[in-house]
Amino acid sequence: MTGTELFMVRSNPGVDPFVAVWQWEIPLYLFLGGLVGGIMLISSVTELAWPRRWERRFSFWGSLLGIVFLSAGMLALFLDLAHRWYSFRFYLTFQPTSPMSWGAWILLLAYPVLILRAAGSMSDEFRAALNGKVPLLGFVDWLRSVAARHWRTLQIMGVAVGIGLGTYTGILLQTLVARPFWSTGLLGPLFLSSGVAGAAALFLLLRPAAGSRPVLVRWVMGALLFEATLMTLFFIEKSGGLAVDRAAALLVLAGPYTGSFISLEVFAGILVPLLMMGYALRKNLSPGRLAPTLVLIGGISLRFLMVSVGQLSNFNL
Amino acid sequence: MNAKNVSTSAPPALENDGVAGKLWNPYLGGVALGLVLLASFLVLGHGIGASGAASRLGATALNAVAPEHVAESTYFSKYTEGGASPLSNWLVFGVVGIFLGGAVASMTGGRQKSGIVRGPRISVGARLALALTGGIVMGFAARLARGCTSGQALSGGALFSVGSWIFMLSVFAGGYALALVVRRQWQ
Repeated sequence: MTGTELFMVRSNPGVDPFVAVWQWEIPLYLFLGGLVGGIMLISSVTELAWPRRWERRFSFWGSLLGIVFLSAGMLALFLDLAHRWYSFRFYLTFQPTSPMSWGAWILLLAYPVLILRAAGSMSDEFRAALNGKVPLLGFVDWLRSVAARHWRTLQIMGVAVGIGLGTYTGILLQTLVARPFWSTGLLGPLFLSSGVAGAAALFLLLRPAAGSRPVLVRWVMGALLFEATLMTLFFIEKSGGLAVDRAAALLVLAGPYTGSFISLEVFAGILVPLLMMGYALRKNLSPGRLAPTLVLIGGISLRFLMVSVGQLSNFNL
Repeated sequence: MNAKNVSTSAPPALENDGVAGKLWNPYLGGVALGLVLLASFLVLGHGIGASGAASRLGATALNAVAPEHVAESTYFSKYTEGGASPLSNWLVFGVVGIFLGGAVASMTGGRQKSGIVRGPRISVGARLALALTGGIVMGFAARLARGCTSGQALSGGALFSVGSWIFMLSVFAGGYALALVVRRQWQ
């Protein structure tokens, strides 16, 4: 006699045993996406609000790095897909209730904004150096003229796309309600603030002049303080929530991920850089390369931690 | 580390490098270290350690390239029992803390720069070779002694363990004896 085994609801072996279906690709993509969102937000806001305390080269190199990072992130995302060659279907429709659909279109929108911002912030010296070395210079000049005409609009688009890109990476996790650790509206702003801190840290690694340095240090410190506040609220929410939420929070607060969280995220990623940057700001010193590097390490640790812990958390108490 | 930023010219000897005033007072530092040890006993229930982290880092590297060897090794297999990561241990996180504390201290002391601290007579390559040799000897000995200056001298010493006090006196005796051989590198 042959029998048919029927898997029902959570007894499906695809739910619990395969808790680590996402490996390195997704956290790397989330980190790079957040970083590019931060780059766009910071450079656009500072271009609009404090242009005298900003170096135009940051907008240029930030946009170029943004294109590289976004492409690397999308490659990581592509590598994670089971049906890679169907990914073009994202661009055959727009589903306003689907965060993946929003993400696909925001990613596509980010490219022209980054390319135009790079063209518009290209220095005349850099443009002159390209003569005879790269093709399609006429097209580059046309992009520069378009960007120059619409520079302010481009900054506003940079702010909007930057916030969208940085926030959506968190919302992507939030909507997967089967994992209690991710089920909170705080993830979007948390990832955005981490992306902004990472982007400002990246600009600090590009050797800013003494005049523009304090603005970047304040961006890092403000974003880190905001991130710390959101993280505190996140754990307050989880600790005061349902039993599954409390169990999920304990994975980080008193479980297998506690050491990594406290050392890499709380101390290395937030408290120590805050201390070092605060000291540098007060004494009017350069924050050096170590503190910004720690911020970036904290940013990537946050994504790996969130993705790993989230996949481990479930409703099976 | 960017090779450009590594100092290649011979720096002055440590005593005259012009930064002594920016270092922490050693007595204050000693009291602070004692308080760290006390906090470790109170919070974690045991003392501090450092060389165990290096051992676990080695186990992780070995496990990445030769997991069968790690599984068969009596010494290393205990680090990976039950599929655990050798790095998921308080010793490793403690060493991360040492690095972070050093980062803050070097920033507040205005001494944060990349370079290789060495005496005027020794080349960068020879300095690195000596440091690596010393590190290997120290690491091997620390495993033999079941602890290093942190685990044995500090933690065991604080508990008045006889073995730890003998260890500590031996460390100083060995250090002074070896200094006769290598001190010229710093002069």
